[in-house]
Amino acid sequence: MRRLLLALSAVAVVAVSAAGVSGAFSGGKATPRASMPMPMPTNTSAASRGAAVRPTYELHQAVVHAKILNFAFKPPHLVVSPGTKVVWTNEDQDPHTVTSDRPGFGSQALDTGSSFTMVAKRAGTFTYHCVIHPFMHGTLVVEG
Amino acid sequence: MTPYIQHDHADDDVDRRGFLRCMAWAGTGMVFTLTGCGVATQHLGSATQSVAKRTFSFVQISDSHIGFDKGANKDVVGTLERAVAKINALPERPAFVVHTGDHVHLSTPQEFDTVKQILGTIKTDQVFNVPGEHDVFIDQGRRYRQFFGKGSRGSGYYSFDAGGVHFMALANVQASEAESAGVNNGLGILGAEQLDWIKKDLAGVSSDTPIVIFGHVPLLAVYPKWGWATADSAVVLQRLKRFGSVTALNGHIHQIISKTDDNIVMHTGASTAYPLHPPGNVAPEPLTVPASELPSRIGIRTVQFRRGSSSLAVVDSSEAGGAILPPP
Repeated sequence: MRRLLLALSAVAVVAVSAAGVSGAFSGGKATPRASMPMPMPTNTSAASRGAAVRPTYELHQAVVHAKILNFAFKPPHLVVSPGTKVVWTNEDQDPHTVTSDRPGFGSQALDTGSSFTMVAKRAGTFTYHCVIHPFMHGTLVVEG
Repeated sequence: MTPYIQHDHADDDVDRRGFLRCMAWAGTGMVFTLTGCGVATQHLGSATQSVAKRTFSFVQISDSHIGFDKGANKDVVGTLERAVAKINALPERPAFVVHTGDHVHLSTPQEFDTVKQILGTIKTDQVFNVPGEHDVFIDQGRRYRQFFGKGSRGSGYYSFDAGGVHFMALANVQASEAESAGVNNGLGILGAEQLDWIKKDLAGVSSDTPIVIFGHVPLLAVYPKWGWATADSAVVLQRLKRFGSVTALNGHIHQIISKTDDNIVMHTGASTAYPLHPPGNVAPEPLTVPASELPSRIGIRTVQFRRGSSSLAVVDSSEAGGAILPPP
């Protein structure tokens, strides 16, 4: 658990600095990120859901593109290497977010065609969801 | 007299509970009038004569999603304005209008300002509102409450009485800010503070008072997998059991589905903007229909009461003029 928390805080730092320096939070509207919006799912249930899905391995890539389509994160369980830039693009007509279940990272509301970019710096397993539709769950594994 | 009538307090051949049981399904574009337990349905064209003695009516609109501009409806301002024009052209001016949430799509100030201005053109005494998840997800509803929260409590709930009916407007898309760490897996939620208020609010209401509940997310489960249910509604349903007539009117699912649970009848309403897929089909995603078909899948709802008889008529009428069609 301690290792996971450390990894999460590292990711949060990366995400914030990336947003400030290079505008890695691309797309979305000029709206502030929700601090604690809709009630979140339990970490346990999200993790167990993630474990049931077959992982998609995209190791040693500079950039990995994921999408949000038909109210689902695709791939739902993504495994990348440290340093990989993960880009989620919303292809639905409804807005979605990419928000870690535990405090860590979070996108703005992504309108159709908008993307959220995050550099996966530290190893760990990160479950996330959409705050507008909290039944949508995804898992990102950074395999060191 | 039919076996459905168990309690006829008003001596009018009407037992509220029996009546509601008879109304297990509210059709689209139909009017229900009460003849003992027999529910007579008539098409909209003859509605005016059949309910000539109504004393009280209100209108429900929902899910205007101002700010949405995708294929399912590129002119949500236009469709809301046409819904308002339809209300303003009703033969009887509604006592009030209720908007059951998702006023806006992305919670921007411009979207809230636009919808408030359009709602301000409705010819009625008052417009009531409850929040949808699109109204609150960005800031826990603070901006929504700036625009529509006047006179409400907590996350935006309140009650009022009109025409002998007790109305409760519930905010079931978020618990209070203090409770927001709750777990619900995407279902609607009322939260402990609001549940406590509901108990107190109902305590002073007599059991023969008709109750009408407004909310965004369905109070009775429609399709929990997509969040189409309210996680903590059981306490409320229990508190409502002593009442003869309870009607819940909701939005959220952009299609008309009715459901009965003991003495409670729920009617989800159509959107003024666009339909969603039916439960279990693909995703709760906007459903794009040919532009010529959209006006028959969106619209408004009129609810009429006849004082003293518990007669309640739910009429859904589309922008095109007839019934609101279900999603294809």
